[in-house]
Amino acid sequence: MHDTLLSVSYESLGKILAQLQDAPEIKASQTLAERVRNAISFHQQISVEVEAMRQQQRLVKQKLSEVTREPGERICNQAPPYNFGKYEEMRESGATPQQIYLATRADGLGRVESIAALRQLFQLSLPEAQDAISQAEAQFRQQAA
Amino acid sequence: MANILRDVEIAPPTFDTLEEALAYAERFRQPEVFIKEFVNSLGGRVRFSAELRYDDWLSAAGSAVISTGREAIKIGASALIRDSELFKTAIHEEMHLRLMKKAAEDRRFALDLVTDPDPSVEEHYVETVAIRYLRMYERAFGRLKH
Repeated sequence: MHDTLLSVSYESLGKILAQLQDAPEIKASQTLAERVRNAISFHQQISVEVEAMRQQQRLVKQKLSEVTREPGERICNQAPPYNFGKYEEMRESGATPQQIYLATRADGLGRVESIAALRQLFQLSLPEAQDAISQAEAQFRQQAA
Repeated sequence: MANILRDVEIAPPTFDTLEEALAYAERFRQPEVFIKEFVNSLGGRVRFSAELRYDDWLSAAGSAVISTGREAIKIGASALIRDSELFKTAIHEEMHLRLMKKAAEDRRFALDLVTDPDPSVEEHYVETVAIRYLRMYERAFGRLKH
């Protein structure tokens, strides 16, 4: 919040100075006009530094936000917290959707996450992913029997 | 992957009196208390699946912990700037939780959304619902204060 308050008053200051410069009382006095011009110039110089600091602050906040997230936390404007890196490698090695599904379940992933993995890795529609799962489960049952 | 954008109202409200401005600033001093009071002020007209928690470290307006058994709705500082934004953020995150619950029950529409390889599909849906719900709420119960 301190950010916002600072931001509002800081931007307002620029506007106030600009309005002051146009005021007849300021225009009438050379000394006052000079002071206002100096103030505007100082405000402009500072604004560059303030903007750079704000940018740094945003980056630090972003980093802090990333490192303080809980497992399974979905953040606004970001992708879901899934990490399918391991299964990507399996796919690169030629694993089928069925094999990857069984691997995800063996790793303890839920059914929803497993479907998400198949759809992401193989660009499947939901019915295609569900079909692959049915096949994988049928194969698994056959092998177990 | 498509860019996921949420329309967050970040311009703070304007005030007629200093008292109003000071009263507004209280929410940033004690965000947990403010969020609790805000939820109470909804008078049970909106039911959340999980308690709304303030998270000072959260860079976004909100987040949803979707892991089964650990569900939570977290509110970031930027959602506090306006009551309407807090309402929208809370509903947005609530929708993520509800969709995940329905997906776990194998409900097709929800399952299709939450497993879509393009995360913006789900984001767009939950945000659309949140905006629509805010409009409905304000039509029925009057505009939110800020």
